[in-house]
Amino acid sequence: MSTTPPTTSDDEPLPGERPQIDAAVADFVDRGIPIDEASLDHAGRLRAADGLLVHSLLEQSLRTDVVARERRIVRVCAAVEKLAAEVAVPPPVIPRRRRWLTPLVVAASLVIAAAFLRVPFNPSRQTSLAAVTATLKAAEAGTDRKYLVTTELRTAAGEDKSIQADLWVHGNSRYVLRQDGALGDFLMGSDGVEYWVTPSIGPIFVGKTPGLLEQLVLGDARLATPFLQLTSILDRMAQRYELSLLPEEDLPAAESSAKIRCTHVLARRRGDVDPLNPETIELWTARQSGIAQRMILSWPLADDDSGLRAVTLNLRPVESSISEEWYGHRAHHAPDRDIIERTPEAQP
Amino acid sequence: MQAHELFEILVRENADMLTAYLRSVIRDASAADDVFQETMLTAWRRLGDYDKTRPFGPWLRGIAARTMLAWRRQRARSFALCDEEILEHLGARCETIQSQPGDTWDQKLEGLRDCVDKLPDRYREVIQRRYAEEEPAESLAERLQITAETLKKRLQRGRARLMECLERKLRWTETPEGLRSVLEGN
Repeated sequence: MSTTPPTTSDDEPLPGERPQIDAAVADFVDRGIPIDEASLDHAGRLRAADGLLVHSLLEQSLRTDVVARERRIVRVCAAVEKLAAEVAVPPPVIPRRRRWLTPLVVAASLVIAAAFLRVPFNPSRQTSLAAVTATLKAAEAGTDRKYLVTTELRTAAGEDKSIQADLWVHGNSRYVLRQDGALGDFLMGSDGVEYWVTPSIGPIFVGKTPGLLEQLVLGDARLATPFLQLTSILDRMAQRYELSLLPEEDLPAAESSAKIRCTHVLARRRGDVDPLNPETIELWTARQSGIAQRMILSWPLADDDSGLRAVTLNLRPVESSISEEWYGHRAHHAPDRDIIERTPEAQP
Repeated sequence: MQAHELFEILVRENADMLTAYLRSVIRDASAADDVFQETMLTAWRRLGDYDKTRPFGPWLRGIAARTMLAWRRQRARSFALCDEEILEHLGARCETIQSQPGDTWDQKLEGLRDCVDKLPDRYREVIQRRYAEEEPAESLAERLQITAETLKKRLQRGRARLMECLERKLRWTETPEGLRSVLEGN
């Protein structure tokens, strides 16, 4: 008669089970007893490695240590930031304008504005307000336009810098903003349905809510939102600025050496408006076509001040016909990049 | 957005995967944290070498593998099995997990939690208490009125069953390309 306790199906050996190796792994993870590698054959070594991986995954999935995780990340980020500061100009400090007002955010805000920049100029109502409000109402599906966005800022070290980005717009809902970065192109855009951000490396972020992804990537979501929603620069011009019509000017045409006669509107921020907004906005629109040729947003700086000084949009020729796909994220990254879909509910 | 701010996104996206990979090899938590730090800083310094058309995870694990091999030469006691073959094998395992549905590493581990839920009671109970509640072995054995040896056996068999469950779920026998190319290419 056997003295072995009766077994159940739970105790049946599993396919590929190596009890001695599993015991060695158990001794290592539960008691700290080193694994005798010399006693393991090739398959045994891989089995032990799998056992150790399962142990690691169990620790992670059943006992999520958020504090330790954050500590690791913060430690890395602090060290990287320090390394970055050693080799690069420190990021500009933007007094009274808060962190969110980065050049990229400002440029992003212009995306929406640029989508509306078609002024059906009416000579009989040649007033500054008419030009701007008409622009707002004239949002229509139009042709592709391209702007060169130039951001000027002064660093904390007193150095004046200029950053450029390309902006494509189509109608009032499609856009692509491309800015060169230290790690390659950084793109953000929308095809009218999805909003997306494509960093030079790492996953692609896609969502259905305007501004959400910019918030995710650029941070400080609460403050960034107003500029990124459909509250456009032009809307702000009409509502929060004193407008005046300046003498017409001739600007170089984007696609030829000819000159284009432009209406020139100057908007000055009202006293009760948040100084986060640019102090002045200038808009040049072609008198005949109504298309915006140039736009300049300015934040005057004191001599010892650092931060954002100006953002300028200049109309540029579109190189060739642009397909609808251009405004989707897949046109701008390799097909095997990870894509993360973000919804408002998924936000922390 | 500055480069180091972009890099923080990558750190956050890959932190859990890298931690799991490191802790499969390094038993000591503080040593694993140090290797985590060194791996990420090396990745930052070498970002110029990174092929942006390729996924970031395998590249990062390649750096982690080389870092672990270097550390092991000085601190062998903190490491379990650690050589190129083992690291390549673990890297391939991580890749299969990374290919699972879900946005985050934690979501990709849903399959493992599902395996735990399906364990026979006697194994699930000890696994849950050992990992989720960190209950010491002595009190756990006492509470369950079993010997320390029985407890050890149940933990061992529970993990073996989870391994078998994961093999089926993740098709580990159809291992994708591992880390070797990354190790050799750098």
